[in-house]
Amino acid sequence: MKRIACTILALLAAALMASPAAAQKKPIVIGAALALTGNLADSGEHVRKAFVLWQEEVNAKGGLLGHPVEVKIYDDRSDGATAARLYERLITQDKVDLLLGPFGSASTSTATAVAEKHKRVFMNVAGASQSIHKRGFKYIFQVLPPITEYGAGVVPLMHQQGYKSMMIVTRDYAASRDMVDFWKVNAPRQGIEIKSIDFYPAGTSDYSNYIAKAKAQNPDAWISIAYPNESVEMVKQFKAAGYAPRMFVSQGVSQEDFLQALGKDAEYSMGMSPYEHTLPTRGNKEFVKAWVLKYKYLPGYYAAFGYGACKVLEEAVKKTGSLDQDKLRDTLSKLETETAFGPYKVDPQTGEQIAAKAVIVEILGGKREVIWPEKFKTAKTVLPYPAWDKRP
Amino acid sequence: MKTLLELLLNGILLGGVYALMACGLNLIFGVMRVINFAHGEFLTIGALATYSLCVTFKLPFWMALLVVPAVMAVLGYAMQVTLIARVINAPMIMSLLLTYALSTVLVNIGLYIYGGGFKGIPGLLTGSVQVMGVGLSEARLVAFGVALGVSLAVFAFLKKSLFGKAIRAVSQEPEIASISGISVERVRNATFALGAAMAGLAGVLIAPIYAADPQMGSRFLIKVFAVVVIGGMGSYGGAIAGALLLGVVEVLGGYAFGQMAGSAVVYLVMIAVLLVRPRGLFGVGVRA
Repeated sequence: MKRIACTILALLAAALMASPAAAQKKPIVIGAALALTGNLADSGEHVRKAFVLWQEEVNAKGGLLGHPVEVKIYDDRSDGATAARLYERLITQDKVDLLLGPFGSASTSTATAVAEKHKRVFMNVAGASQSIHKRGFKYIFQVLPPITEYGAGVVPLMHQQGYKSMMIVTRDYAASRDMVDFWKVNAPRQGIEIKSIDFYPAGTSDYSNYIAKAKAQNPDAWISIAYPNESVEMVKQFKAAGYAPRMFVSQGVSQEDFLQALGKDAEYSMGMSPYEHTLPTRGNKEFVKAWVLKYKYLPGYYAAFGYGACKVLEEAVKKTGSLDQDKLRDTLSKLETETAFGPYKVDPQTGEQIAAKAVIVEILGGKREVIWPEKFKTAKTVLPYPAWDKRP
Repeated sequence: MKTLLELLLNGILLGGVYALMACGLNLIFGVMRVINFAHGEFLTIGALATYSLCVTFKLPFWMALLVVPAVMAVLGYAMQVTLIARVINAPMIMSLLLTYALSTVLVNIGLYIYGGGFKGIPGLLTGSVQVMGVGLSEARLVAFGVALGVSLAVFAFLKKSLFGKAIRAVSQEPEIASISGISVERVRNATFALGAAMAGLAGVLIAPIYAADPQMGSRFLIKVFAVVVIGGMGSYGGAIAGALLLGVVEVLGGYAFGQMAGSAVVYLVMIAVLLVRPRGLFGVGVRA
């Protein structure tokens, strides 16, 4: 109830702030279903906040094509089937003008199928799985980078540091298999040997067997596509076993949970991140400032996905000058721009994002610092990952 | 050789925590023939409560060790009296549905309060101890010691004390126990409270080892079910033996065949036990 009341108030406030010309016109309604309850609710909430922030901003500037903007958000309960049903409803019953995507690959997969069936332009806000853009759909445009971009920097970074071997220990799911295929091709080209590749099933919480293997193989780098909790458990078990690779990179390191759960032991771990609030991307400073003012915490990458998607859609609509879905589709497939989140450019055949790149961060002094690529560096890399008895 | 020793010790330590959970589950099954699907969530509540006590309220860990099981016992008692007691004599599907529903409700309350993220306790028992040249995690040693200690203490309580004997009597023959003047209802209430407290304690013990989240319960419960099936439904000693065996099989299997196949080995052992000895290694079977 409280949330609904807040939304209504926010809408009223937004309507009042809008310029008089816009206020008199019928609003442009943008529909989305987000994970507001269920297991992805935490993450979905950041995207919802991003949509709301953008809505206020765009209405304060006179709306879109002279109309005020209203973002209509349903709750897909973190469930793909529910997401499909809700997008069907948004399109056929609510007759919304534009669509923004849901949170997560599962809901995005089903929702995109509905949008494509109705020939409706659909912004893929937070569906990283590559399969989403491999189905020949023509109306789906990806804003976040595809998963293989997340770990792309690992190989050049290792090459730069003169490291020669890696061991891959990774959670088993479609996205990580895409990532591993990428490394299998790219690591040997830089003279880096992959000593072993292990996929562990979801729910694994004991890594002692991999640590035993790592001690025997002695690879330079331990590379993981692991959730934050799994990354935390890896580091705890490294410490307990007195094991330290020369470089430790895991995807989950780039999330706040990792830092808070480990405290000092998080230091020198590296993570893969598609967005950091320190990046010098276009409008990022203003976005971070507005976000912190409104929500009192720093935006993470889910927030940036949501905001970036809105900005790309806004620009495309302005450029097209109408809400005609086919014209809008043509604009989006050719558009090249940059938002706070990063650059936007898609493969016109698949709608897959090809310009956005992820960065590599290292935990230094209790903060995530960007250490790769060179042009975004906020701190100097500290390598090797120090042995546990050599740490202050 | 050293690798083997390291794996073996790690496996045994892993088994200790499974033991504590499996014992509570088995105790409840033994006395009531109720399979508690919400047992994993009792563990989750224990772990998240420990996070709140140690991180949010900055209380020492030993406080959590004392407070959380006590609170869980009260919570378990309340659930037993208000809900579980109603379905004990009903067909088993009723208690399965009830505890499953309870599990879903508890998970979502957890998500509502803590969100979907992962909660860890920084700097708690992160050191390691050298045992025969192998570095073992302090957190795991503490968990193993406390878990096994408590499991054995409860075991002794069941064997020696009058109330323990009453629990065993109700487990074996509720009707005769009742004729002999034992209050079956009281025994059942106490057993469920005890089982919940043990799962809560297991939660406290794993809080320093793993990052906790509201959905962690099912990850552990599946393995604990395997432990119980291997050790024997309703058998207390069987649960301890099964847990240690499964811990070792999991770690060794994971090393030898990779984690994917390693996890399968655990369930292959379970199937083998079911084929050869359907009631489990020490099981009591279904009451006629």
